[in-house]
Amino acid sequence: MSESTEKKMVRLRSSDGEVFEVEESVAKVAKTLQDMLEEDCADAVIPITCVRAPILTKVIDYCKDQVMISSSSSTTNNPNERTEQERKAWGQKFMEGVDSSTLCELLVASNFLNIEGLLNLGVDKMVSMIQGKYPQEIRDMFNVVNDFTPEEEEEIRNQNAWAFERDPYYKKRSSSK
Amino acid sequence: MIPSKRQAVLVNKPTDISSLNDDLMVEILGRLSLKPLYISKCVSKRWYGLIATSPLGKPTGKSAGLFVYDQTGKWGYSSVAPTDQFEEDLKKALDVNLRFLPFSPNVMVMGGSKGLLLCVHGRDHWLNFYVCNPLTKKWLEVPMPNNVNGGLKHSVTLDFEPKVSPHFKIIRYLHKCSTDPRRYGRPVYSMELEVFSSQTGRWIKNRVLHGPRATCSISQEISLNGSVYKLVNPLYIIAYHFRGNSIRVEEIQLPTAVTRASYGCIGEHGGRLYYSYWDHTVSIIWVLLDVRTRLWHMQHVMSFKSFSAVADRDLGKDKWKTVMFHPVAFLSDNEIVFLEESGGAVVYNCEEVRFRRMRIAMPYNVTETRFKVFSFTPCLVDPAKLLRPNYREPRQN
Repeated sequence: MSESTEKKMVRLRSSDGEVFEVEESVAKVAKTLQDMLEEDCADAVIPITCVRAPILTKVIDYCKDQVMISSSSSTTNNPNERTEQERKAWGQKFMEGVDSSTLCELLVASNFLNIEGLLNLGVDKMVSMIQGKYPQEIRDMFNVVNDFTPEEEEEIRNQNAWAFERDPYYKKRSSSK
Repeated sequence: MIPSKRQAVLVNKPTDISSLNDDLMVEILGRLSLKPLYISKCVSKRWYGLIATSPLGKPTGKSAGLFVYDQTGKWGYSSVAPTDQFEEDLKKALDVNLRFLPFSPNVMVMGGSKGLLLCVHGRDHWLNFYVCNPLTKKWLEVPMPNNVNGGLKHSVTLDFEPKVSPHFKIIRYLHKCSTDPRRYGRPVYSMELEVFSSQTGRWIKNRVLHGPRATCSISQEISLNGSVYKLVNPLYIIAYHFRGNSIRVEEIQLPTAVTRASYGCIGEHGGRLYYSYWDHTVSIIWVLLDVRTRLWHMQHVMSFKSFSAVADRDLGKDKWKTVMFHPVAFLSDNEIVFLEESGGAVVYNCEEVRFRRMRIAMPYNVTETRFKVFSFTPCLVDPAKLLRPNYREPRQN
């Protein structure tokens, strides 16, 4: 086979059957896919059985961006290169408006596909969502069922009573609700 | 080409936080600061369980403070940076005086590792060990060892590395014996150890082959990645590697010998072993890059002259002379702690080349050097819950 300058494409299929065609370099941002491609299971469509199409779109967006940064970072005076601050801002923007269930799906996807950067963004977002909330607010946000009896919950609260003291920061949050 | 056979499609079940596996949840919870973490314990049984059994630390991985203790079992605690929110919260949550122990105040601290402390009930009960967590205020009474007659009082180590195993070990160094030389053709030393593991709930006696430097005596020791490292002056670190029930001992040569006129200390940070060497001309920090090949890397060198100039600047001219330049612990890979004769402590940061003072609440002045220091990394483990269920629950009030 001749060396083609044309970029090699990879096809991915989401759990709901939608097929995405992306450049190989984009797919390779995901370590799981990189391993598969290196073992030469190319040509066919790679099924991503646990990721729905809207989530896969978001994941691919992330990977494309990573490729854009890394491909241009070899040249000097790179206009795309980001400082730490810019990267942070970009990450925040990328995760903006992501609701809790999408976030969980994104986490599952990036964990399955082994994309460390995206996983980190997701975990940080999750932390910022939990921070500063009371147990019931956390349960509501993530649909967690409270399986403690009221007595058990009371006991855990009493063990660490200081943590439940209302400080101005927490008060502000709960009163705004 | 799309394969004709359709791949199995997962049933579309709504994805929520329950679909995240434990590792991911621990990653998330581990990045929470202390207060939201305590609040999260209330969310559900799963969250409670994950928080109670996982290591918890600051995102930076720095230790939260230092426990200093000596042969008489007295101890003191100092937090590292009393300025940030984590430390503020920790201060409210920690009981560093161990008042929650049933026999308080008659407590002697014998050792510690990460977030757990090893204590005994006064000097008359020095084999009646208790393992406690000053953060969760939970404790466990360890069964009596089988060999009550052997062993020195203070040659006991607590080994706890939540990254490797949720279980802790207590190691008693009983005595050194030399083996029959005819069997090996050369003199071979061995050491008898008695090890308690919270996994089995029993003390098990072990005889391990040892180099000629086998020692039961008190020396600096740290536990790291499931192994215990003891600093044996002047030239060696002895490493005890625990794998299941077997113990392997090896001697690791230090890159610089500690002599009468110099001091050394070992420490750990970020899963690596550090060694600091000090004498009156130079200070060096080494890091052990590879345990197997024993590859040391020189991380930092500084002459004593420039060192004393920095001390003059940061601690006051000539005031630093009460500092005993005997390193006792590492706070991170470039921060070393020294104790002062007055009972205080100073921290030297090699990267920023500066000193700062920290307050150690010692109940007395540290005038002798036979004390140990361990960096405390808080965790929410409840030691009483680590034992197998068939073990008799100790009395807990």
